[in-house]
Amino acid sequence: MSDREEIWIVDRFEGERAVLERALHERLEVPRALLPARAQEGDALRVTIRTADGESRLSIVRDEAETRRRAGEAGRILQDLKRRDPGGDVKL
Amino acid sequence: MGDGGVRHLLRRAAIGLLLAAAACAPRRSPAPSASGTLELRFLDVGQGDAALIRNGGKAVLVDAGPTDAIAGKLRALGVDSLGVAVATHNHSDHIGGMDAVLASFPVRFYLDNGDPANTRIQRTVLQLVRDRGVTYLQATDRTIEVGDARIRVVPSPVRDRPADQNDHSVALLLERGAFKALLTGDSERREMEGLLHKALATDVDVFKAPHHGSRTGILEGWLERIRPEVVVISVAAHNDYGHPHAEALAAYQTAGAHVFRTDRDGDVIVTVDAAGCYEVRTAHGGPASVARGGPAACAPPPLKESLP
Repeated sequence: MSDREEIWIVDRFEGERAVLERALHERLEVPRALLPARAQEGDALRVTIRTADGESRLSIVRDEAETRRRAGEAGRILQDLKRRDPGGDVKL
Repeated sequence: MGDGGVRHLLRRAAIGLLLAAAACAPRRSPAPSASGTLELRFLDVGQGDAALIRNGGKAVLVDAGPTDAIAGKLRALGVDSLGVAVATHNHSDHIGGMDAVLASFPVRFYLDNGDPANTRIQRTVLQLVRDRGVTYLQATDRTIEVGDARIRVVPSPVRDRPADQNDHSVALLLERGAFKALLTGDSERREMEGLLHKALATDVDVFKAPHHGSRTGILEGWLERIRPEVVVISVAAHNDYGHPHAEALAAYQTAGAHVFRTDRDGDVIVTVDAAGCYEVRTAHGGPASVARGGPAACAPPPLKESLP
């Protein structure tokens, strides 16, 4: 038996499908019903992949701390970038 | 009926005549793309969005599709730099190729909706913007001049649900002469209601269907207000989401719009002259115009011009 953990990010929902980012440029789709009920866009999901006797089982839970960490990281870059906005209209 | 209504009917008559003429016309040489012509090109990027605006030697990219294939497409079109790269919002089908764009081309400005999406692709894109010295533009009410055309940036009026990227799409109104094109990303009903209240635009010539022709981009009163002559749906064939939805197609047809789809037509190319007269061509349809419109002065050519 072996366990592996991954962090998947909820990129978006398309009706009853969830689009998840598994790695940079690697996405997969699952039925929305497979996700925790309160899962929303931008959530980090901690996915445990347990393999035993040739079968793999997934356990998916919301990881609120990881979600906050990622939101903070993106937010800090955005704040830094926003300070550099020259303001006003732009002429190319 | 007011002046706007009369103008709308005249324009519809003009586009209808051209569609009839095009149906029996031989292929003509491509419309000249020399300086003086604004080009709005909806790129066939599969299930995602990307549109290229070029005018007066300047280029603006609106969204970058789902993969890095966008960089090769832009190169093949002769793009060597971008004045602005816009992410209408931060879903991967709109920014999946943005890191490749930023890594491949000099980009002067980058504009997005300012919302964290927490994804690796957004982090990578923002880091590239920062590390390459690209000037960031917030989605505020502002105008971007592209030669003699202008893009009005309209931030989403919806601010109360930061997790909802679609309804935080940045809307763009492209204008040249009397021509107007409206792109609203993947906006859904709440954002569209807000945009209606802002009286963003009426009588647009070209409207990019929100959210790949999803039913979530159909709002009562919307099409009656903007009255598009041409609707472009950016969508992949046989996608998993049923886009475009039948309800959306029916609404666009009921509105009398001529509908183009990137899954069937390939790239959809709109060229606009200084007065706002426009033509639509498609990659799969060859060089002949398949639609034309604009102010009443943009009369279609006499039918005899189209005959051998």
